[in-house]
Amino acid sequence: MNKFKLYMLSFLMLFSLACEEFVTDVDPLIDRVTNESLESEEQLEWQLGGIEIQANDAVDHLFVMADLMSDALYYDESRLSGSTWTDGYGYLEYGTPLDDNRPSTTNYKMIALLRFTAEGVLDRVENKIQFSDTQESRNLKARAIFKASFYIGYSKYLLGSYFGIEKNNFGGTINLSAFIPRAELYDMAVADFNKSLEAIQNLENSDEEKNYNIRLINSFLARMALIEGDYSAAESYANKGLLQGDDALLAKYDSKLECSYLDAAYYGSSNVGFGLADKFVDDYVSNDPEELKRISYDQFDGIDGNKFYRQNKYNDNNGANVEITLMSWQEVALIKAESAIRSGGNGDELVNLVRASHGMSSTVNNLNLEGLLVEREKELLLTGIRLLDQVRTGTYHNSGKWECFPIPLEETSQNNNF
Amino acid sequence: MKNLKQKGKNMKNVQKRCLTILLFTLFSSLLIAQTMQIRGKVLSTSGEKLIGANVQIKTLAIGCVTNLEGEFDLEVPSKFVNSNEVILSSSYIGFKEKNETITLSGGILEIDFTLEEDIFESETVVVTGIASKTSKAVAEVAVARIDAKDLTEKQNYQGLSQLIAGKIAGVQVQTNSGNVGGGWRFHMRSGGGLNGNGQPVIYVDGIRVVNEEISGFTPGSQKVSTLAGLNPEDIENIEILKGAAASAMYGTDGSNGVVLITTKSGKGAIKEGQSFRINYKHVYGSNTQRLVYDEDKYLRAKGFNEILDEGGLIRENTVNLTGGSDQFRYYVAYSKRYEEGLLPFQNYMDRNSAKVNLTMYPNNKLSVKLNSNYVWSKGQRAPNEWSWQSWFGNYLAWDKPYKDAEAIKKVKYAHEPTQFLGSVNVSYTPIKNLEIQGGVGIDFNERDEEVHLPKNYDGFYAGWRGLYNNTYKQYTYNLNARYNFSILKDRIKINPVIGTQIIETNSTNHALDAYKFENPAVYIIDAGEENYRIEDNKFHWKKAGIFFENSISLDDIYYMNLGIRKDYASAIGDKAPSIIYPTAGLSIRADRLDFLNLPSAVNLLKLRIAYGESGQLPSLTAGLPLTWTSVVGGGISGAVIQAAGNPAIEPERIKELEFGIDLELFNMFSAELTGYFTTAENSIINLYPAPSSGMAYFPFPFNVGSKEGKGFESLFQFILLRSADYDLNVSFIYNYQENEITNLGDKEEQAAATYHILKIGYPAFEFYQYRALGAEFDVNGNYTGVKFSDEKVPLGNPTPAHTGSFSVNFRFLKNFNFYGLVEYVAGNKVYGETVKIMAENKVYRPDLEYRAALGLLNDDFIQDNGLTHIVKLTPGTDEYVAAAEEYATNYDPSARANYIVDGDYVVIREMSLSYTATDLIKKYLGNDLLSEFVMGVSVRNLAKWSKYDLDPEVNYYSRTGAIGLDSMTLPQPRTFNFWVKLGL
Repeated sequence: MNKFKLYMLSFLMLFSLACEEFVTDVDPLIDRVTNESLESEEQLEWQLGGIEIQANDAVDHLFVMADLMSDALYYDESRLSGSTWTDGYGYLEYGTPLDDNRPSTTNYKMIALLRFTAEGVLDRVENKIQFSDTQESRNLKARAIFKASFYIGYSKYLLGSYFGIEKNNFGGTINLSAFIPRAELYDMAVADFNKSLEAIQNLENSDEEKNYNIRLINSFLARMALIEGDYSAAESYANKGLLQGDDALLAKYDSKLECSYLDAAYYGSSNVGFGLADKFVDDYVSNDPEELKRISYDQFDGIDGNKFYRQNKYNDNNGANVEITLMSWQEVALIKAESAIRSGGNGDELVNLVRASHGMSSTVNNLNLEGLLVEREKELLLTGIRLLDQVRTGTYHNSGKWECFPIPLEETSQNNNF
Repeated sequence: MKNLKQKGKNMKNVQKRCLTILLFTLFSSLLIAQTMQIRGKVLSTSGEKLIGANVQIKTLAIGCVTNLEGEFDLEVPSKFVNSNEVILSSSYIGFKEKNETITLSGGILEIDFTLEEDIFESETVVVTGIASKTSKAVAEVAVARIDAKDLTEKQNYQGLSQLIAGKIAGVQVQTNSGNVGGGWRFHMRSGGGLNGNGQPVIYVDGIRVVNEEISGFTPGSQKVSTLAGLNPEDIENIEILKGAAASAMYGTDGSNGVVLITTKSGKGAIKEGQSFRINYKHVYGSNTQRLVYDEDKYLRAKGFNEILDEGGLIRENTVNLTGGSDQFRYYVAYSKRYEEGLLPFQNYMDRNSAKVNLTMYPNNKLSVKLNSNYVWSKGQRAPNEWSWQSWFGNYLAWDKPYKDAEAIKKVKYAHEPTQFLGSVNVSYTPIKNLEIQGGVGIDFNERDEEVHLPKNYDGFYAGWRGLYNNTYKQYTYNLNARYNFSILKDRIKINPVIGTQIIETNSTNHALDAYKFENPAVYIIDAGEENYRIEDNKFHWKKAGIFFENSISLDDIYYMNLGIRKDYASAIGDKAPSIIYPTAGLSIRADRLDFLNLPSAVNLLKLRIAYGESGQLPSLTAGLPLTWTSVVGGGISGAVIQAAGNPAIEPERIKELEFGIDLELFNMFSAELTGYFTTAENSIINLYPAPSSGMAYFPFPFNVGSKEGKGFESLFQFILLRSADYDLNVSFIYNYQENEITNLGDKEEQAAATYHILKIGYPAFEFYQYRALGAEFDVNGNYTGVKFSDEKVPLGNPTPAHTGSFSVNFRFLKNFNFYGLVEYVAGNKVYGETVKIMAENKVYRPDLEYRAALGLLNDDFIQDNGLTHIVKLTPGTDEYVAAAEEYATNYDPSARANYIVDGDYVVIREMSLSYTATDLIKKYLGNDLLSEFVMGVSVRNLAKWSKYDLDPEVNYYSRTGAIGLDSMTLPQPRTFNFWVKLGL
């Protein structure tokens, strides 16, 4: 009997082992790789692409919602046909966003995901990946640190620019931290930008790329200084920023990565999400038809019997291939012009240079600060900048209301610092 | 009835066998001395001679059958004549087995048996474990059984869901919509745990088949079941084990029960001289509009009723060939069913099913069974729910048609499901009392879909075409050995089983579409300028288990069952989770306990209790830590996070205790009462990290949830009349269930599906919305809107607390049969979004009357819509305030809570009248022409009464979306059928 038990026991044990072996022997998944597999030089380009996709995926939604909150786009169910109250758009329109509204929650999550992705790449580049000692590898490492640090800084800039704990107390949280005010977030962003500048200095035999990227970083530093109202710093950064003819930094979209402007502010002919503010057509274009080169729109009949406008800057005429400008030499020129005007000087030449870059022949003459802000409004149309401009210049149309997106409830309810 | 037929079939064989044995016995008795003769008669309680009844001493493996006079004569060989006590038992199909203790002391023993008729079929052998069967009369758990063969002779069923609905205590079938071939789900008892798909596992002839709801390019997000292809006409019977107490031996996934489907197979020669039989059945019927929209309530009902008025045609032809010999039996069938639903031009199915079942007995130690079943269908579903092409939206619920009917008709949502089920099962008995069974089977389940929106249909798409393919290849391997032996002079019988089971699944999913076509006639995918959806998925997983089960009985009174199963499953990236499931059960045949001295009117009294555990696996990849996938967009290809899993994740464990009483009285009343308690522990709850972590989009699974459920289910059967010309049987089912979420980790609640919540202290998937507390007014006293509660609140549950059915079967004037089934559901809520959408679009009169009274409509609208009789109230007055409060809390469509309403209903589900003309035919046309001729009429969903104005039995989504949601969904039709069945 004991022998029998022994046989049975051995049989069961063998069978158990065989079962375990059997069930683990399955085809590998074809749709994913492990985190560890990313720790190699060969996988790095793919990861850098991932940071960029994550950034592009974050900013389109953030910007279209910021533009809705600004006076550039508007939401009006009683006027725009086929526009329905989705995702609390109306709250954004009137500057009364709730902390559980989806648009602001999405923005917050996406910005943090961008930072998380970029920080992961930076950590792997600095601590995990063994680079070979060739120029190609050294350059790859320099570019990787540049790009990862830049987007880490950029995510902090976005967080500090568009979010707040109260209606005009800007800032956000990182990794469940306590509230970090805008100034501190900007300081952190500057540190990250400096790190990316340091990294780009290590590029070998690629001065053109190196210098362009240095100018690009300085352009962002100029914008941040402008938002903070430090015009002299803005001017000095702008002077080191992008030059006429420099490529813009673009976020690119297509049918596989659809731009939120198409989804939210450019529906089919019978349905429209957000309308383009009347002033762009009724004031800016009617006063100067050449503005059509910067302000593209369509006109439709509204529910109320009156016409309304829809933006056509981002459209699906070329498939869904659209580009959002994240930074351009034109913006840098306008920062310089603003600094000049604010310090009693004249910005006409810079502004006219910007206008000429669009093939416009009409010029400005003795432009004042108010006029410059209008120039910015037209030049930087639908790039998420208008809300920041309105707030920093005290011209926000929802006066006394939220000037930013609230830190979402999902964060404050899980973060012990709240 | 069926038993009698069976009886006749067996009789001739039995007589032959009996005679042989008799001759053999007589002959051998001349040669061998010291044998023993046991003689007697087997009679029914009414004194009828039972011809061909078995008489045997099971422990010695000797026996014989009764002759034409109901007499038997059993020869006991001399080697057994040793003065030992043994049990002599007599059994006969349709009767309860009877046992007598005798002493083998030589000579002649005279003994008679009187067998009781098994009116309630409690002696029917049912499955109680993966490799064990026992009679219902002694099973430790409540095993439900549907005699599908019998039912399909009385009623016509579109699919499995209709066949099961209302027949079984504790099992509810929930349909998605009235679409032909649409999706459906089981709801078992109190709903099991929180993980998995909430569905029982399904076996067809021992093969595990895929039970999933698939969503391809569905019209309005409706899913379809992978079981939709199974043809009711091919099914012999269905057995259902309802919870973990009964299903533990089926291992992981069995927590929501097990449904075992046995398909029809050959029964051997029909009668002396006839080795086969051909049956033919023709069904002709129609689906018609049952729910007529009230034109007084819904402004656009008239036009819509006209659209739905066009009924659909049903036509089915089934032919089968069955027969064989003692060594070889076959069943071959082909069936073609064409069925149109409401909106027949876009809602139909054309299903073909072919089946071959072969059983072979090469010798008395071996049997081989081959099953194969191939179903190929095609069909279309009408666009409804939330799509621009929705018939409901354009013609009922929205303020006007945005698409005209001719355009909608051109929209095509076509599907072609195919399924092949094949298996080989071998049973081998190498030595006495040892049986080894092995089987291999495959379920190949494929679904193809094609959608097409013509060019110029919709500006957004400018033509759209989509292709979708989903396949499952699932293999089942079974091997088990069973041994029977007895000790203590046969008082204790022991029946151990050991076995293993392996299931291997491959699944693939592909979708591709294109839109913007230049030429409307050329719309191959390549011709589209852009595409919207590209999908490619491939998964492969395996499950393996070993089990040991032991049934022990004492004196045929006490029955005990103990079992244990160890399961393994694929979980990529982590070690395979192995989990052990125990089970134990006890049943007592109290009617056989002498000391109780029960009156003879108690035909059966069984007490039973059982406990078992089962589980639900985490998803295949839940144990993988951070993983990355590739995303392409804007000309860049990059690594983005795919998922973040928890390597420590374990399966959810479900424990169930079930207890019950089975009772039969006066041979005319039976009751089966069952109570159960279920707990789910280690339920996997996905916790979403805080947004600032950067991981908020990637839920992290933890084993922190738990849920408790309990319930009661009952089945009462009455045989009110039983004679040669009349039978009247009535049965009544009542079930009650409740369940409660008891733990969600450190959370109080977790969002679950659209509009639902998992909340501690409430049942799973409770409706959860802001409540409309009252009205808000501006300074002038005008109504401005609903005053909402600050927080969302639980608003009831879509799963009913009370369910049940009532059925009657009446055979009269010998050959007529009436059958009816009424189902009822109470204590559940429905989210009537269809009505809410109508209110939003100002086409729902009760809403408009309030709006008119509150001054919320302009005069033109009031004039145009016949609301002039409504008195416009003056803001600020008591009447105005009262009306506003009433409107805000009952009708204002800005509050979803106003449209989450009682969904109780009663439905006359099935009704049929049939006439068996076989006697008539034989009388006038002789015996040779037809062996069977039956015809009948039946109706499904004859009438339905519900607290919800529209059809409460439709469900936009399934568990992953919303439950109990009617959102512009096609109601169930009323179905009429005429059928005729011939046997050649």
